[in-house]
Amino acid sequence: MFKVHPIRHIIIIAVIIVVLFPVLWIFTTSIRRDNSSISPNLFSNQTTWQNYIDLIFEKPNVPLLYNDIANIYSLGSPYNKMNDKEILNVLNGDFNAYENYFKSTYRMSNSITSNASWISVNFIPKAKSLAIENVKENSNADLRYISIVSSDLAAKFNSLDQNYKMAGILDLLNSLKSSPDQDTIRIVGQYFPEIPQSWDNYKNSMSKAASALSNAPGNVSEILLESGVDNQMAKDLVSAYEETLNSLKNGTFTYGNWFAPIYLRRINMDTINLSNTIGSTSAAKLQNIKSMVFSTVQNVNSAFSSYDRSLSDAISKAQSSKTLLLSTLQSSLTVLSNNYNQLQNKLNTLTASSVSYLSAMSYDASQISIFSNNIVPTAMALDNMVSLVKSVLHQSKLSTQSDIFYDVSSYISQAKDWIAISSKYSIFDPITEQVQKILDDLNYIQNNQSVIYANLNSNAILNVKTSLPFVLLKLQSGLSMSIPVLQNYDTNAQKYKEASEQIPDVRKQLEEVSSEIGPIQEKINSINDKISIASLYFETLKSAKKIDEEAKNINSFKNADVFLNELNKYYAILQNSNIYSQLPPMPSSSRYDQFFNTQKLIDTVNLTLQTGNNLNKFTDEYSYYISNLKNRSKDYVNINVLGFPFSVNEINSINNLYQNQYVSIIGPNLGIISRMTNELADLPYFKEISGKLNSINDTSYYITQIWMQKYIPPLMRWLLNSIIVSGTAAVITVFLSSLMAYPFSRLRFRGRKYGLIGILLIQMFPTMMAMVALYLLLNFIGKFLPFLGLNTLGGLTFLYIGGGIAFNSWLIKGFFDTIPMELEEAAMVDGATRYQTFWRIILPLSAPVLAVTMILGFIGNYSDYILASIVMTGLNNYTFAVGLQTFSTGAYSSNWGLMTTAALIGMIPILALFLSLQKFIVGGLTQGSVKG
Amino acid sequence: MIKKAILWISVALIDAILGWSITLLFINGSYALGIIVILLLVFIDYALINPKGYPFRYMLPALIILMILTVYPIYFTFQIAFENYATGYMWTRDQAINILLDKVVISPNPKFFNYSVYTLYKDYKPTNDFVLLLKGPDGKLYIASSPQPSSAGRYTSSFEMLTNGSVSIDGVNYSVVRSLKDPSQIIAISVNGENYNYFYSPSDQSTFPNLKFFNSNYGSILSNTEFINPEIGTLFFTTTYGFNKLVTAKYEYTLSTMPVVENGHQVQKTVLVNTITGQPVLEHNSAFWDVDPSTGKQTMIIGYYGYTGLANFSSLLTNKQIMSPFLSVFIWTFEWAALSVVFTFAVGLILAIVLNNRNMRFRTIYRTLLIIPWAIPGFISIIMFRVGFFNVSFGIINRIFLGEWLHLPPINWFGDAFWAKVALFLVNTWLGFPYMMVISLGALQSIPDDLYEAASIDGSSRWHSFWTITFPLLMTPLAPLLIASFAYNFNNFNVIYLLTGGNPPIPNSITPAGQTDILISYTYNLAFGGASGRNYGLAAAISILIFAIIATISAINFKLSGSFEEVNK
Repeated sequence: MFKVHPIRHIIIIAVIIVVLFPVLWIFTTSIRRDNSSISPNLFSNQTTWQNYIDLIFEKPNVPLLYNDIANIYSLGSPYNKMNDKEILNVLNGDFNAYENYFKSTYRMSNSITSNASWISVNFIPKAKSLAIENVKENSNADLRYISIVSSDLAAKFNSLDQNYKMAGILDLLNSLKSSPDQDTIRIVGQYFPEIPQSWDNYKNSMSKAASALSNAPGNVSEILLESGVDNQMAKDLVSAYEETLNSLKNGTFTYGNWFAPIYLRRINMDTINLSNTIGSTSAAKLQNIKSMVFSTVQNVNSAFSSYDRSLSDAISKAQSSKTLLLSTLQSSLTVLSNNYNQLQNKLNTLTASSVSYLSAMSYDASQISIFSNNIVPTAMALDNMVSLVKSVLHQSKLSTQSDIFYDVSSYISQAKDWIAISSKYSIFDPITEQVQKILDDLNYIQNNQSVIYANLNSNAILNVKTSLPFVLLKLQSGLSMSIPVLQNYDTNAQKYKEASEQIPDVRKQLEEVSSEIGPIQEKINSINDKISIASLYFETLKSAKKIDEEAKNINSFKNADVFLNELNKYYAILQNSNIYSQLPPMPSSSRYDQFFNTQKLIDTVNLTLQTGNNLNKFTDEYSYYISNLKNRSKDYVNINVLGFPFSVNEINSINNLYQNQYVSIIGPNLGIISRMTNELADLPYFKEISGKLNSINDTSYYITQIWMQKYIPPLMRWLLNSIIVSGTAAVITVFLSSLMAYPFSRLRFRGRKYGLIGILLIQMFPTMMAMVALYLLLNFIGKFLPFLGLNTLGGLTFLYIGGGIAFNSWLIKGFFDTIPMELEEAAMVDGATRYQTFWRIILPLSAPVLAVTMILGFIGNYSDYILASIVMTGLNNYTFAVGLQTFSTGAYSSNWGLMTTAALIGMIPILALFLSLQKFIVGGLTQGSVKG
Repeated sequence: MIKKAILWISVALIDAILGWSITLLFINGSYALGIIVILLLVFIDYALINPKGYPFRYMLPALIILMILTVYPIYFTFQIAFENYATGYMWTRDQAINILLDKVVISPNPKFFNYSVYTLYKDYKPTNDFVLLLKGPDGKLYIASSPQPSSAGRYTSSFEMLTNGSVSIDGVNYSVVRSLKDPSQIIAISVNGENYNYFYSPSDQSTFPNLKFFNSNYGSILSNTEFINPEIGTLFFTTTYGFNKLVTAKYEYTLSTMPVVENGHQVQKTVLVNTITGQPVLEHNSAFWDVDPSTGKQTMIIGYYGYTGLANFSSLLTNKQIMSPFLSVFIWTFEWAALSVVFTFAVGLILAIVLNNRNMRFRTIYRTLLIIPWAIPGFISIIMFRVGFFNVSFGIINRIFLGEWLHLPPINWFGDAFWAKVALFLVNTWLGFPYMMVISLGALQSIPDDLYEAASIDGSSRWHSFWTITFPLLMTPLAPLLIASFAYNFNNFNVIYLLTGGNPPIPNSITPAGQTDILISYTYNLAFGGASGRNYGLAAAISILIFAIIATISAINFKLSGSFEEVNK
């Protein structure tokens, strides 16, 4: 119908690759030799079948054998139930296995040793010379690069002012101060010629002194011998002379060095002491020699001091150049930053004090608001009174007399004072308003005293006169008590104002100062940059000189190493400098790989020789303990079996030996050897020995397989458990289900319909949900029928049967329905009973379908994890599914080799079954499920 | 005739076995299981004896197993859904009372007794017959008789003071045999003339070789023995003092009959009494409570399980800390089942369409290779995916694909809900698409070609004819399968449990719920999850809910596929 386009194949193949990638991964990981859970590579070319061997044959290696014999001697399970003969048999088996392991260890250890020594004798000299050639060849590029950089730097350096140059040399000079160095002195000499001059002078004076004093020790010992003095003091004196002479010869004599004063003092003291014991002529001779030596040494010393002085002069000169460059800037920077700090402090104080004034003000304001409770009612009452008075006066005539109604002048002045302050602050406006009213009212009274007095006959005014004092009293208390608070508020407000006015000013100053600081800092930085260029120039000059020298004598492996070291130092100097990014790109460092790999090869070969040696010694010692145990095993076992507590010390000794030798030294070294040889064998220039390296790699891997701590779980037992349980359950389930299905398919009886619906309902209830009940049920049954209890294969089989019957009955009923009735009817006409027709006709006819159902049931049970994990708790009773979980959790979850191997072993039977019966299974599953 | 005899004999045999197990079940208090077995017995007899029961004879073996392993657990689940069966309430009331009655408390001013064991030897080997020599705090010596079983798992022994080296307890004469060399050493005890040798004492190092025998043969007896003396009181070995000394102690609770106020009436009742405070123990909220006589404060001693009605169901709806995680699990379960079907079906259908061409070369090989994920047992693939692929620090996705190749930051697969769900769908699609591919292929092949020819003559595009012809025709046979697949994924415990374990957890939940937990794994956590205790009652309640949902889905499915008609045939 459609054309088969190649794109279909491409799509399908791409999908298949993606889909099957996990399977491929499982397989490749299971045969990897390295630790795949941390390796950065998805696949590895180092393969091994070791995981399969371990899991399928479960052959214990040495640590597992050790665990076994340790268990035997402490009579752990299952040995506590064996008699002495059985135990001895097991022990002998273990000892024989040990013997084999020792033999193969010796064999393999000798093999790696002989391979390593072959390499070291026949290949390494060649490799060394090749590596040297390689270094020589490649060094030209470096030398070229260095000369480019040097000229570049020199150009930069020459464009600098003298002062920068001087400042740059400071580092070099300081390094001279601590250790004099010929090259450095020459470089420095270009700028400070007196340094090399005085240095040469010092050297000359030393060699002169040495030749002048060459006879002194001999003369002294002769004199002493003649005088017959042969004590310790005499020896000391001679050796003091000798040491002095030696240091002069070596050119290391300096008065400041620790030994010179000691030896000179000894010469002095011993000469005096010995002079007392020997004859006066000899003593005089001794004294002569001493004074000659002292005067010569004095010359040397003064030569050194002049060198030292010239160096110090140079340093101070360089230092002063540096200071000249930086000092003004530095000092103005200091001044500015001091200034800045002061301003900052001032700002801080101002801000702090203004905050504190503010808080004092708010406190005062809240006080005033309390007093306003006194003042406001007074204002209102006074207002009422004055309006009363006004209403009376309105009608009356003016008086000419000057009588006083009530003198309120003192209150007026108080109120005025109050207002004078409060009117300044809007916060008090509401109260000020009230006080103003009071003031107006009081003024009215004060201005109209005589008129009011004239109307005293009015009732209203008389009433006012009686209550006025009370109002005024309240007013008095309110005003007089609040005025100090108000004044306080006023002063605080003044201070706050002053402080806050200053703040912007100070801020501005700060900004100014900091804007001044910036450029100065920049200037300083640029000067420092220039100085560092100068100092880089000097440093590289010194280093480049060394490299040039070393490059001339790359003739031995060691010298090549020194050369590469110097080269490294040079590049490190460049990389740390701040002009690194402006330099031309450095030649790649991998050019010297051959050299470094040769070095690695030498190290690896040495490590292999050493490890082989260690391994042999270790195995000797281990086998010594084992042979001891073997000889004594009968007695040990008997004492143990008789029930007396008996500890076997050899067991502890073996463990100590193993931990101290193998775990901490040999094992890790074998790992290193394996990794290194693998790396080196791929290199083209080691092609000649790649076979030997691979052999070392393989052999050391197999040695570790014998000796390393391993986890070898009883996987085959688990697999067998799974197969037994799943298979038995599948067979029984299908048999019982077909019995159950038959009447439902062929017979009509009461309860058939409800029976079928019941089965339908029951098979919907997930077995998992009933786990609690099943657990308790098995626990209960196990008390009476132990083979069906918890942690037994029977119990789990029983559960699987129970879980499968309802579903399978329904399925098989569907199959039976498709078989025509006529067959049975014919048989029954011939006299067959119902049961016979079932057994002879129905079952054989549906056998293929039943077989498929059985296999599906088997796969289903095999794949169950959760029921098995709850029922099976003993390690030996695990099913494969539960067992596989142990590989993926805890300490062994990073041992992917073992895990994937176990997975592959477990999946292969099912995979094979499924794929070979694909047609039937797929048909059975899909059609069966369409039906039910 | 012989047939008849065989029939009757087998009926008698089955009845005898079942009768025996019914008795056992009732003795053990498993009444529900007992009744189920009685029903079975009646049914078996009916099927075997009555000719009308002939069809049932075929079913009997399967039915017995179904009853025990399926019907009873379902019944049990329904029962505990209405009970408070959970951590802290794991005992029946009777068991709880027995536990309380077994509790021993050390007296306020304890007296300590040193002891040594004297054993009867037979053929130079120690036997299980032994007596004890006790040394009181005042230095007086006592003999304790060999412990005798009193009630289930308990022993009593009486001890009396030695006078002049001998004493008589319950008509048996005990006398000490002293060493001639050192009379302070008692080397044996003579019991009615037989000598019991000095065997073990925790204060004598020379007897330590016998410790192993002592621990394995006498230890369990002695730790359950009550030593009685009318004057001194009772002595016990207590775990507080190891096995080194006996101490004056007593049972903390006893049963006694006393007047109790109940519903406003005073009635005589047997109650637990705390022997230290003398107060009767209160019983409410499915637990026993001690009362402090001075303050009246109650403290719970032990809980027991029993019927609590709809409490489990109502807590799902009313208790916010249970409801909100339950709701999120509930919603995710539907999302999970639906999206799983969508993804697997989409991938499966596309591959089926690509493969659906009889002229294609290597078609069977391709199909076989694509079936492989289905053919590998699911748990193996899931574990490999979890450890090898999705592990956050080691897994090759984070470490190699993202880290080494793409230089991307690692994905927190199981710590982030979104990525955990992505991982689940990836793995489940990988596991499930072959099934979908196979059923789609089957359905595609049953669509006759002439339909397409007619459509192409009418000028229909390929895309158009897919949606108008292929898809509708596919859905008729596939719909029931897709619904079944939905039901399967609804309860797909293995993928969730083995891949994410439900992680990451839902914050602030008092039940062990995770953001990728589906109902069934959540139920599993409730019933078997470790840290926060087990709540069987709530788990059973949710199980019933799941059962109801699955039954509804299946009912729809059966309707669609016509299974119900089959029942009525």
